[in-house]
Amino acid sequence: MADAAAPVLAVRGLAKRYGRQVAALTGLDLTVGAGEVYGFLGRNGAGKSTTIRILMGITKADAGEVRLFGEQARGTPVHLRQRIGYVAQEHNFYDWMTAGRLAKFVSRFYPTWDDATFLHLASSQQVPLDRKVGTFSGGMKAKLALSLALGHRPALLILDEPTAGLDPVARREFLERVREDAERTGRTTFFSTHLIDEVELVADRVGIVDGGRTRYEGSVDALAARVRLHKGAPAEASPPPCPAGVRLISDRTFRGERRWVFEATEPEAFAGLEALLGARLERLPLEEIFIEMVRSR
Amino acid sequence: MSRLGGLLLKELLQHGWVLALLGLFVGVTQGLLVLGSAIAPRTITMLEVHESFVRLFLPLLGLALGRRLVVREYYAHTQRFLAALPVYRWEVFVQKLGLGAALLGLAAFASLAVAALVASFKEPLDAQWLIIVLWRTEVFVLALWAFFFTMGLLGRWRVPVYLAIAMVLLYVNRATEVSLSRVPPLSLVNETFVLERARFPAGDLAWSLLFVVVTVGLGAFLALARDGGLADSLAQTMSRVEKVAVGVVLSLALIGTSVADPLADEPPFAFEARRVERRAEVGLAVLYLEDTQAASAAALADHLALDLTALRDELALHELPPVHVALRPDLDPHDYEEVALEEGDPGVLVRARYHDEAFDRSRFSQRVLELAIVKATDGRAAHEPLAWVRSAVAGRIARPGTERLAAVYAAARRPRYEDLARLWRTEERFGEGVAAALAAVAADVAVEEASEARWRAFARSCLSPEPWPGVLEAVALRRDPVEARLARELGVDHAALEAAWAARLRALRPRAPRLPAAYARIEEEEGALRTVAWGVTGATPEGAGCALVHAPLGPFDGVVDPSDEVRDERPCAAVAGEPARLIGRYGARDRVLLAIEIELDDGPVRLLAERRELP
Amino acid sequence: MRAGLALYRKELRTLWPSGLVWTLMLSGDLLYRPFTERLDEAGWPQIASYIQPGEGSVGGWIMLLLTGALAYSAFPREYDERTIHYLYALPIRRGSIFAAKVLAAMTLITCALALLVVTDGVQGAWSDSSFLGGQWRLELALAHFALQLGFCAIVYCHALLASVLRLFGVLPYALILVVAGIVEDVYAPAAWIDPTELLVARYEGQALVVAWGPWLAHAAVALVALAASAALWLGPAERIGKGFDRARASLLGRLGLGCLGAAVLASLVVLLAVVAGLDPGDPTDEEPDPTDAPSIATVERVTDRYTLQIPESHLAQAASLVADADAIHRRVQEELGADPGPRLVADLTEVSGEHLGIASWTHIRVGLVHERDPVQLRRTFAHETAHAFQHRLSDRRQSEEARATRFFAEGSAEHIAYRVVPGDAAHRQARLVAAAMWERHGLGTDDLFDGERLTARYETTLVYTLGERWSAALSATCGDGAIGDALRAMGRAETSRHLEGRAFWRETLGAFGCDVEAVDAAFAELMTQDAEELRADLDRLPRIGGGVTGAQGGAVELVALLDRDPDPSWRFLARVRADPGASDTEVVNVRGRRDPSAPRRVTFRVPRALLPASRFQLAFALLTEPRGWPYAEPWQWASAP
Repeated sequence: MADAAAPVLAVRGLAKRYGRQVAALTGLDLTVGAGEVYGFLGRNGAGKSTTIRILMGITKADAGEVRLFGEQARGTPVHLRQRIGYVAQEHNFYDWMTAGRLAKFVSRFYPTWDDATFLHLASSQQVPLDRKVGTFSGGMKAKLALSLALGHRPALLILDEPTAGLDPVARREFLERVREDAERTGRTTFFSTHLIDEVELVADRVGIVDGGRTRYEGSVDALAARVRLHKGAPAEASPPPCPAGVRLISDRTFRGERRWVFEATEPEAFAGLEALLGARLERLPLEEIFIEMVRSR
Repeated sequence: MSRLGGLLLKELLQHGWVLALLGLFVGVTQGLLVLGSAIAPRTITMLEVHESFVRLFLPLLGLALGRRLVVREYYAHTQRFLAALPVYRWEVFVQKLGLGAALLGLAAFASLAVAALVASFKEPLDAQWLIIVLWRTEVFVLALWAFFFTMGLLGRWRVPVYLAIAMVLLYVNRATEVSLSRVPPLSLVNETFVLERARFPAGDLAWSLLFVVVTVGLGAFLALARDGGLADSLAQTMSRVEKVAVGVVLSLALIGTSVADPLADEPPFAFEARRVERRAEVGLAVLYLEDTQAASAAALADHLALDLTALRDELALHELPPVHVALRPDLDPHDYEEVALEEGDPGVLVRARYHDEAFDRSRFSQRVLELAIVKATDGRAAHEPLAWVRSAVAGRIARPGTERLAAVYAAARRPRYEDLARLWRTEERFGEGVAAALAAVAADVAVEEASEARWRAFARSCLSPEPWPGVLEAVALRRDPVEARLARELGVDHAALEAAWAARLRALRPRAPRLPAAYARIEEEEGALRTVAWGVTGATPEGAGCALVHAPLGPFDGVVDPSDEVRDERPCAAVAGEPARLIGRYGARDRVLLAIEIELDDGPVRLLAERRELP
Repeated sequence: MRAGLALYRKELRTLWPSGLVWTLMLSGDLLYRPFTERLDEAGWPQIASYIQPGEGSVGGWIMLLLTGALAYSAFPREYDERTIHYLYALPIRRGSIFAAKVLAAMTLITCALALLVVTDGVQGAWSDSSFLGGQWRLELALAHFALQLGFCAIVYCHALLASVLRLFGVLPYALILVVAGIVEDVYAPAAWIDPTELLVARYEGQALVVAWGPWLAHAAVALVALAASAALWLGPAERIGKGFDRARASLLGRLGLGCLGAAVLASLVVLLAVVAGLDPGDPTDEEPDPTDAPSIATVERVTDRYTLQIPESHLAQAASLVADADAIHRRVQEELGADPGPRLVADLTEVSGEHLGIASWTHIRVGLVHERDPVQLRRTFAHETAHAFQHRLSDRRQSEEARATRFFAEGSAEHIAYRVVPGDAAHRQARLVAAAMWERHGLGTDDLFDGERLTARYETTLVYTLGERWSAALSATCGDGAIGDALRAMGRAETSRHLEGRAFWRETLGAFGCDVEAVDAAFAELMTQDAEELRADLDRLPRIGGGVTGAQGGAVELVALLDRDPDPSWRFLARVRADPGASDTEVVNVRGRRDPSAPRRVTFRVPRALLPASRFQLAFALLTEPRGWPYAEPWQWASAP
């Protein structure tokens, strides 16, 4: 039986290979605590969708362990899936159904379905219930998908790049709704995206996946504090020796200016480096951090 | 349960109107079949309505349902939406399998009910019959649905696989010993489907259920393997390269199946009866009917054995084709009937009335030798321009003594080598007897001009037992025609042969029997009708019989099959004065072969032969 | 114009896979025929078999399927691959898109058919022997090319319209072809509804006869279909699609669609009923005595070996038969040396004028209603019972090898029926007809052993009369149980399925030590004895010659001239059928009228509505007794003026 304090979602050493060449996941670890909005960040092809397909039981992992709501979830049995709300990247709804009919159809699969919640979500997002889904625009389908996912008051909401193809306004509205829902209901949300601004806007903690492995997991602020930039060094200078706990992850010249980027598990370790360089190290925006961390591999 | 209910409701909503329309279509089709069976005179029982429905329209329904329930789900990728819902993939699989089987079952039982109702007015239907038909219908429906369901999962490959399966069944039915109507599950709906009242087909039902299990197993593998990824990848549209490859492979396979010959390993022809005179050393068998005919059978066998042995030496044949001669008392002594045996059969079968005193063994032997040569050369010697060489070789060995027939030709026409090279025309114009006689004379003249050895070399070069394959044969004859081999092997070119041959024939001309002239007039009769008035003028040999031989010709010329020729026989005296009349048999613009034959002691001779289009 | 050309080239490029398949299917024989056959032993007509008289419809079906696939790849593929929107976005009129597609398809078909003419011409030119060489005729090759091209164009228009409903469109089209098949059986003159009939080659002399009426009708229908498909695909195709969806959305819409579909199908059924009603029936059918019509209600009588179904109105008439049924069954069983087998269902409500009775597996139907003569009724009953035994003893192999065994099936059943229910007069009449046909047409067992060759040339009821004599010869030669032995020999599991004619009978008779040649000789002997015994009657039977003499008032005039005076009581028939392939039920019989002043002249009037085509087959027959077997002359071709 799942104990209350355990993380809602815990993944250890997840591995998955498609055929001989494509190693989608090579030992992924992640943990999502109750009530957390977890930003699952990674480039295209880093293994995000595969992870989610495994979590949803659509595909089976080759190795590794998945614990959902504290319970061992090999292939995600139906009773666990009934507690998950899922918004896919591409919406393969039945075009011939109206939105209302689709909701009635989906409701049969979730014992915790609540019409009121769905109707509220749909009407607040101006989703026309009597029109056929085939006639909906991309944004409208995304809103419908979110309404359907939240309609059965799931314990865990999984979003797989839900805002792909939305215009900026629709994207912002969607993200605000997710954030507002998480704050209001304390629902655990697993938000997969490759857009940094979405993570900054919505996520409490972030997990960066690259090459099928966890590159970083922790709070957004801790991530920001972890990377520092030194620029202005002469072209011919060689990078300085790094004190313990600090690592040079990028040495580039951009628009005539030499840029060194350092990463440290403990921010205090940078003090020694600043002394060595005799200059203050600068903080980087989250996007720059993500790019440097991912490119450094 | 509500999950399954949700899925079923979705299917009914999505396909409801189509199923209603199909139901309507089934109803009207059933009405059509009932009407068709009612007015068709060959109806044995109104239950045939059910048989026709299950054989013809149920598969169509299965195809349509397979497309809607399976193919459409994968091509619209909506199965991915279902995969994300809290429902197991095997639950979706079982639900679709069950729904399709139920719908097809419903249509089949509706058809059975209608047929039984209509038939019950006219025949007794007992419980045992009902149990048998119900079982056969139900298991056939399961087999049908399992097949179409699994084929639907093949995605873009299902149409090529359908065609491939059709071609395999075509080949199995045509070229193997398997009869499709006896192979379960097809045997469930064979011709005893609605008629069987006693025998419960347990074996067929068991095998058919095994077919269902195996097919559903394959379907399950396709649908569930690699987390449903297999069916998903199959459901992409076919790329251009795949299309071309499929088109070429299927076309070549279709050509292959049509060329494949059925198994022809049947034992060659042989007499089964006891009363047979055999000469094993030459593979000869002569059948006779009563013991009184044994003596003439033995005499004929000895005569033929000598000639066949001579033939074997003449052409250096490894082995002679087995010759069978059957006694037929109802034939004329001059009339020999050759029987076309099975295509692969190496033997020859000829019928004759050989126990009659008027029977000429030498002439019969020439005919038998000719047939043996044709078989030994795998049919090549039947065709021009080798035909005259065949007759010449046979004539030289059999020595039929048919100079009088050769003289008939000499009296009628200036001898030309063309009449030998085009032996078919000569046979049609003068009759087979005269043509064979001309060839025999040509053989004698050739031996006199050159030598026995050179004639044998020429004969062997033309009638070698090893035939060239296919078109190479025609090329060989074009490059090295008979005339060239004549000059090379015999040392006498065909012009010189023709001169000597003509001289010999002119010498024989005085021996020609005085033959009457023949005529065949076409007279108009009653508008479009035509009458052939035919007869002979001049003196006719005593007691001779005349005959009008006529055969319809299609729009294209060909060698007239002897069995197509109709003989209208009359005594010659009767047609010497007043012409005989063939009334109305042919109409205006019909093309017909008209020939008039006279029956001489040496055999039938044609006085006249024309291919005409009636005005 | 340049844009149109570009579209046309683009369509041609997309169609080249289909072109490859067309070439292989039509001219593929060039790949294997030169190596498997000696081409100099076949003329052009044998190579291009579709030009032979009566041929062409098989090739028609192949072209129909190929053209259908071609039409289905015109628009549906563009919609499914969503490339249609890109096409419509181009600055070009939609009509040009449609024209380009149709032209490209027609170009492909024309080239494939032209290549067929060339490959067949090349293969047919090898032989230069007397009758096979030099048969190739340019104008005939081009005529057939034009027919095939026209046929493909017509079917292309149909398929283009059917493709609007995607795969669902195949069902109505298949149904129409099925109905055309049924119509052909019921009302031969309407056979032209089936488009493949347009390709059947018919000749008058050496000239090809083109049925212009059906061609114009089909061309008109095709043009309408083309216009409709253009309207549907170009114009409102999407709007119709959306309208279609909207209609399907609402319940009312679905009902409307259902009714529309039902209306179309119902009209087809009504058309069929009307057409069937038009058939005035054979003028020779005796108008059934109204008081004789069987009651609908039937009574069931169960005996040891039968379950009989008898019309209530004729119970008395059937009483003697019901009493004798089991005895007849036992006698037939003894004749065949068989075990009783399952109980048979005997349906005595048969009223068809085509035959006295029919049998299938355990079901027999016997015409009680029309049968006045109780002896003939019991003989027919024995005949059909014998059939039921035949199916069982031969394990249905006899019906599977129908081509080689039909004469034996009917003949041995008739032979057993005469032994179980003797009748010298009827048997004598049958033997007379058999002897006449055997003597005058030079018939032999090779005609009997090949059912198709027999029906192509002679009267099909020969299988009863001559078959009965052959069965008698078989019993005389190989023992009284020979008929049963032959059936059991057919039923053996190890018999080969590919033997035909004489080879089949040698293997079957050989299985129980009987020689087919000995039986043939005995059969010929028996026929000679019959001919001598019945010489007097034989010489009284006239030879009948005649044909079409003209047309007048919607009917074609036939005249038959006899070579001797006929007996006043004899009745003359003219049988008409479409071609040698027609089945017995498609033969139309017309009774002749005799002019007392010219006893040797019989005239017939065949309603033009009954003529299957302008070129048809005709055979004159003579019935010496109303219920006896007909003596008939061989089939001959005739042309309606």
